[in-house]
Amino acid sequence: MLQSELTIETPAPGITQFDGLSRIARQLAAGFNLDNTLKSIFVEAMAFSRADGGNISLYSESKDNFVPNHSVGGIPPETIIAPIIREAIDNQAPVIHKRLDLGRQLGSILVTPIINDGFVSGLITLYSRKPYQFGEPGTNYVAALADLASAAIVNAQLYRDTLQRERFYASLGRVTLAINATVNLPTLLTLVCKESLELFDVDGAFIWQKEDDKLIGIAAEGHARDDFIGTRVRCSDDKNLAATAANKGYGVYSNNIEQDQRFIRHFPWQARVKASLAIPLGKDEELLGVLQLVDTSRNGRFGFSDVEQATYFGAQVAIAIQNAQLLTDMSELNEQLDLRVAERTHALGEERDRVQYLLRVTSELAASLDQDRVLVRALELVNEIVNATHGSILLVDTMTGELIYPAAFETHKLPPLPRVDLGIKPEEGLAGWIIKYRSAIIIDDTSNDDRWIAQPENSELKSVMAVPLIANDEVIGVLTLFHRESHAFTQEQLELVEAAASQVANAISNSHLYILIRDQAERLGNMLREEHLEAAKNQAILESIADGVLVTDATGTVILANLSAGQILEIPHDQLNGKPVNELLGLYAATGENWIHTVEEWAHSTRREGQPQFLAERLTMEDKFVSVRLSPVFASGQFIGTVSIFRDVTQAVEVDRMKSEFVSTVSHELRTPMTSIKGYAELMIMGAAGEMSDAQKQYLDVIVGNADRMSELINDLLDISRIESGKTTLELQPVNLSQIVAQVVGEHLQGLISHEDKPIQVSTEISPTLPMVNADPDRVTQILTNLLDNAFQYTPTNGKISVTTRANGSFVTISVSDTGVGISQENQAKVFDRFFRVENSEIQQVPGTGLGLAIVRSLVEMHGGTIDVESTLGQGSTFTFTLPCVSEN
Amino acid sequence: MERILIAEDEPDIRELIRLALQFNGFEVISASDGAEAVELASNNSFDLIMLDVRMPRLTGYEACRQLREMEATKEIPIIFLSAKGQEAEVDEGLEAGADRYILKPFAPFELANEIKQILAERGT
Repeated sequence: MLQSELTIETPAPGITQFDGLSRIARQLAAGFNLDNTLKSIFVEAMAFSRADGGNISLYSESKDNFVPNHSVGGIPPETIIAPIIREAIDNQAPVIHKRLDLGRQLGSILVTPIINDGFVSGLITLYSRKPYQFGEPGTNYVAALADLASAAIVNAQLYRDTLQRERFYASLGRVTLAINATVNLPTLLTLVCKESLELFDVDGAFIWQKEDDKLIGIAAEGHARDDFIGTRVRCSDDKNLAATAANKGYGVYSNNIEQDQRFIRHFPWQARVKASLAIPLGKDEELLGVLQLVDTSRNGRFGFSDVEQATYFGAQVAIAIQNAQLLTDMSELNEQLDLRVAERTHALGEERDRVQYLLRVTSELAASLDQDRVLVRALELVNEIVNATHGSILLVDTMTGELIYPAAFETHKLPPLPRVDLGIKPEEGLAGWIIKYRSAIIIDDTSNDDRWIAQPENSELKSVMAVPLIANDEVIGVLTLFHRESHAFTQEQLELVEAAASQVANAISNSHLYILIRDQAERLGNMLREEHLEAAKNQAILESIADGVLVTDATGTVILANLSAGQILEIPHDQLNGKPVNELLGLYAATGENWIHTVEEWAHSTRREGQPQFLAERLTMEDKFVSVRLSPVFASGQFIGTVSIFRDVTQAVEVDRMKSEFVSTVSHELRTPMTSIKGYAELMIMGAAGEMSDAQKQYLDVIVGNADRMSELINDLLDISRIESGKTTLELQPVNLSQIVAQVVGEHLQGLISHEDKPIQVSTEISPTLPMVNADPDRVTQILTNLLDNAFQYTPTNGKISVTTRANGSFVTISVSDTGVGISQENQAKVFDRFFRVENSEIQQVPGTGLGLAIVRSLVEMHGGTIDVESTLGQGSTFTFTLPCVSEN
Repeated sequence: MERILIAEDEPDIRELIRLALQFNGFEVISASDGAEAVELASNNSFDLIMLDVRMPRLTGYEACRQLREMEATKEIPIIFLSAKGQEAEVDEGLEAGADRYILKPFAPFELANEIKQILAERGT
């Protein structure tokens, strides 16, 4: 409308033109008859331009061409006007040719496009046989008329669409209600098809159902409906319209399906179909099928709005189908559930009976350990299920391997037959078969089963049920039930008997075990009594001794401790038992570590007899000292534990300590008077109190010499008391022995020789490859000095002293030999004791304290070495001691 | 003439040392305990001081420490002369600042030689 108003204003038209336009505009407003309006426009255009012929044509989508709506007179042939029309369409503007060459004459032509939304939807073609016919006013007027035609086309289209939509949605609402009310799926599908015919004004409606990767025709109405049912096509077939729609997930149509190259896959029922539209029902995974509409009368039947409406409808249909399916599934499920509940209830009832029965078998059989009673009761219980006429239990004799017949019954003849030994071999007959194959069987008729050995006394038995008795995976017997009639037993009974049989087997096995344990217990009881007596005796001895005895097993756990051990260690002795020995560590602080570690080390290493046999240690507790001697215990060469003997040595240690203290104090107190005696004597010798006579000097020398001897004695006493009280510590370092030997021999010994004027032949023999020793050099000097002092004193003039050293494994051996008086065998053991001096008239004059060798031995042992003496009276002595080499790491 | 201070509680031994040193040409001043020795040393000048360890009022160790702290006496050579000869005792004396630790009983002429040697070392 707006377009036409503008056009009317622009050319400033004359009265005639204005009348024409307003008339047509009124007609346009009054109604929607497109044909009439177009006709009026064309007539007005012809009249105004005084054309001789022409037409008004509209674009037909189906023909893809302009089709005349009204024509008057003739127009030049197609060949001449086609380019002109093309030009008008392409430019979307009127084209005028005032000198149109028509061969023998000239004419005029005006082609005016009717434009809708940028597309040429129609043409007004005017022709005159005279040239220069259409002037500018005419052209403009026709253009205005073309605008009116455009408006009329839009209106008509709008009107038609609105009307159609209104009709469609009214119908759709009704149809949707109807299909949603339908819960039966086949009825629903038929209804959908039926309603589709009317709704979309088509000849045929089909529904494909998706099944796996196929579409299957299941409902149809209208055209070829019976042929359609059962048609199949693959979903992936892109040459089929319905499959394509299913595959793409949106509506697809073809308006000329017979010639459409996209969809060449046809079915017989598709003959005569001109246009077809397919809409998927549901989407993607939930695709239910396809709704296909066909029209057999018109090509170009379907357009975009059809797809839109069908899609909408399809969605409703899909929901309705889903609902119907859901309902169907639900009711099926309900029925199934009811059925299963009923079945389960029944099964549970049976199971309960079974379980109750088996529980009774178990509890009744478990109550008795007496085998005969177990067997009889087992048969009675089992027969409650099967109602056999005869029954028996055969057991495998564990000693002979043969079968014995300990229990049987015959109906109404209980109590059972006595236990008899049948001498049946386990591989024979039915019982043999059962034992071999370990499985239960039913023989419905004994007369035709090879496993059954017929005998006079069992000829009346027709049905047999036999079940193995298995306990701990071993067949211990066979339970057999018989009936006089054939086919007397059922498979269900067999299953229950099998279950009961496993309980019976367990009960039999338990009663076997019971007998075994009872006998064992009796035997052990006797043994225990005897051992108890023996142990009581040993215990009495152990408890009565004053030394603590503590025994560990091979893992270092205390297994025995006597009363004294508890008292000495100050732990209640019953609490010691079972304790790992390392838990006692805290009691003795560092002093106990060696003991405990040795116990543990022995426990953790594989020990053999012949390795170091014991460890002697002293433990220090808060207020007492305990000596412990630890020995390994072996049984047939195997380390089985340790024995520790404890002795409380507190008193001895205390006495020792007091003695050391006493010696220390006395020695010190002795030094003060000694200082005066020696000092004043020397002062007088020096002449500080005036000139001395030779005799006076000689007497004073004796005083000084004895004062020196006394000082030496005091020093030795202090030394030994310090060593014995543990106050002396070694400053260990790598020591070159040859140096020390050279120094002591060269300075000290030679000094003595020259000082005393007593010639003695001295030789030293030192291995050139002597390793360094780990020692305190001052103490080594002291040891050597002492030994050489002794050698010097006891060796007569012109005697020999030799010192030899040599490596000996991880030790160095040092020997000091002399050609002195020697020591008797008897005295050799005592020379290292304190204050021991050999009683010998020949050596009365030898001064000494009697402490030298005791100190030497203590110092050597502190280094971890040993000292020995070898001697022959009158020939000389050799003192040999060892010192450890510096270890390589 | 070098002046030597000796501190010794035992009169016999004090006299012995005095005699021996005088005989060897030293001037000797005596104190009978550590406290007296410290007092004498702080008021007089000495070339060498000799201390017993175990003395009443003030032990030799303590006297030695005090002497080493005083400006006037900190450079004077000090000798301990003691019957206490254990390692720990000798060490304590040397740590207190003494130059020598001589054990009783001693030979008087050796003692005199020792003193001469120390003074000679100081003199150079």
